[in-house]
Amino acid sequence: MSKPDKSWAIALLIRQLLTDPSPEVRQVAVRGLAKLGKEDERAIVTLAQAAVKDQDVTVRTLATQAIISLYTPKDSPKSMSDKPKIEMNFNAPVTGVAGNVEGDFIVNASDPVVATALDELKTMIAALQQQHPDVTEHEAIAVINAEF
Amino acid sequence: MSQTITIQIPDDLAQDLASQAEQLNVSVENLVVRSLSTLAHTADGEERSDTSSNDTNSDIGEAIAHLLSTLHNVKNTGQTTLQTPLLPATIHLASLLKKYGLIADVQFTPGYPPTHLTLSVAPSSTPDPLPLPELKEQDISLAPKQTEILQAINHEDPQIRMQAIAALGELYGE
Repeated sequence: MSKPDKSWAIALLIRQLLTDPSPEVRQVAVRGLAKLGKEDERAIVTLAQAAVKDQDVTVRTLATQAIISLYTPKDSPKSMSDKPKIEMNFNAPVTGVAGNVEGDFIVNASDPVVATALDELKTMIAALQQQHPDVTEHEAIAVINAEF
Repeated sequence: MSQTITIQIPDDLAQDLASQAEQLNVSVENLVVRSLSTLAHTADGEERSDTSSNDTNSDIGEAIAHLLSTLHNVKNTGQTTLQTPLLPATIHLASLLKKYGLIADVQFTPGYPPTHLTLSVAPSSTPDPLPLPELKEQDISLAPKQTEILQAINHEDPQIRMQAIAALGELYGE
């Protein structure tokens, strides 16, 4: 006895989606194909066929959503509205104060007030670096808190 | 004036491109140039590299939903062609639809750079294009779990069939 490969399961799901009289069963078959059929063109075409021709509106909707999900990456990046118009990579390593403090803070610097504040912060950290060249990482936090 | 660029691509990508080019009746070079041209014109400035994938997700969803709903409504509208935005996803999907006979043809819209695909709808008399896979229990030596699923999926009770399909997804899902 052997375990049939995934194509066997996909074929089974395709058959049910195209022939099962129960719309609820076809809906489950759509979900199954969406899960298993990402790299199987028969699965994609069957989902498209269901999206176009199935009598049940829920099956059609689920099939459409399944195809969209197969063509779109799951890890969507942040939406455009979340993206700052101007990005400032505050990435200059500041050594000495805390050993080696590096950051990759992406800040919306389109606001001139924010931009000015960032410049002041940079200047302040550079000054602290010069004033306290030998503090440990743990002590640096106290130094920065005291300064603020 | 043009430039020659030589790039190395994986075999499977080359095969996909060749297949899509064949469905679109264009050369692979033509397909690649059109796709690159579309990519180059979709956005400008630095925002493109940071936001294009998100915008494309939205575009893909809208384009696919529109494409499929239009195909669904063809019988009522009498529409014989439809246009969909030119995206890698729509090229791939349209190529598959043509390959399996769900649409009659697919072409790039005229103009440079091309922005859309034009799909010619298959006549309603077109027979079911996707042959059902044949599942013959006797042809394959099934493990007990698969045998159980196969029996359940043929059960007259839809609830049992649903459970069988769900079990199938769990068994083979990644």
